[in-house]
Amino acid sequence: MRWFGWFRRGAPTVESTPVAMIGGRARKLGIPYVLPSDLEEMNRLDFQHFLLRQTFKGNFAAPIGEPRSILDVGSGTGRWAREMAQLFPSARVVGLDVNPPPADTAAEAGVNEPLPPNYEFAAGNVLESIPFPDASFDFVHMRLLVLAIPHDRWPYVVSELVRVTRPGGWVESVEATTLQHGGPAMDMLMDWINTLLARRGINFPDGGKVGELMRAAGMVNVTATDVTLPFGEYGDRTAKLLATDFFNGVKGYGGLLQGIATPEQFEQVVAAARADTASPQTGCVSPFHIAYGQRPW
Amino acid sequence: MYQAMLSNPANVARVRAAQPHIEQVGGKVNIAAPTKVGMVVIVLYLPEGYTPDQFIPGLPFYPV
Repeated sequence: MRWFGWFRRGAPTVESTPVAMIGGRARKLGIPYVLPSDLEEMNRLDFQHFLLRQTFKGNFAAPIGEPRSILDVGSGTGRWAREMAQLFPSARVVGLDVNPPPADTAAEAGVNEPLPPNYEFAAGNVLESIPFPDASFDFVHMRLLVLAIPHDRWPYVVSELVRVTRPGGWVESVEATTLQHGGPAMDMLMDWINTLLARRGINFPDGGKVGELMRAAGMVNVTATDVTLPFGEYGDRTAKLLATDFFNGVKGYGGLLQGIATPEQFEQVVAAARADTASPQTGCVSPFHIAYGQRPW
Repeated sequence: MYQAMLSNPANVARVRAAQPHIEQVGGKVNIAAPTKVGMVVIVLYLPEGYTPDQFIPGLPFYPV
């Protein structure tokens, strides 16, 4: 899929976080997130953002009203935060991540269109702490950080989300878990990925437990919804786009599977999984988990 | 080997304070210069049988 190759070709590729070439791709040091930190991956994440926004019919599910302050934890490309800044022009919107989004850097350099005036980036690692005082935000959002948060850190991360939310404000999480019913090759691929993630303490099923963690952290009015989407060329447009996103993203694991699979085995299994999931007989699905809750008054 | 990325100067100071204890058991601490946005990557080399929590509990070190 060449789309990822040309989408952001005009933007500068400034990295302020140390990166190393590992497995043939640039990856950030100092965080357990294993996927690359390069232009191709940034473009894939933007593609994923548009896909999820369309699939879930918007950028959030919680009944947030008119928030005056919004925090996006693990803001990545910054796309979600910038769109929220445009949607809520009177709100202060902050994207938090270890690295500024390339789009911010490009805007500062005059390459991209200017950033929304009510949007800003803040540097921080949610695994360490969220660098804001208690009760700073009306709405705190976190999406697809399951590959970045080790299992034993999840309760702390959720407690941090709650801490920086003002009483009566909302926290929302959107996570995915392992693809299901993808056939033997996909099962093998998922096993390899899970083995790799386990080396860094990451447990894919944790993405489905955020609602429980919100309740344990004292949140009220918690709503946790599991959404199972069809995945693969056999399905509707969303299913095809999810497969495009996945099979471009999964390339990022290549080169990291030493002791798990050879590069040749990886290529073969990815190709087989792609073929299997194209078939309606396989019926592959992609589980998503949307949870939101309110900090008590 | 373990890595973490920190932004809180107090936490970086905790690592610096633990450095002599880590070196005493044969380990090593590398603290990189802060990035443009103030993030600090720290690499710990610990002898077998030791974990970061024994020296600097609560910080987000992960095994590499």
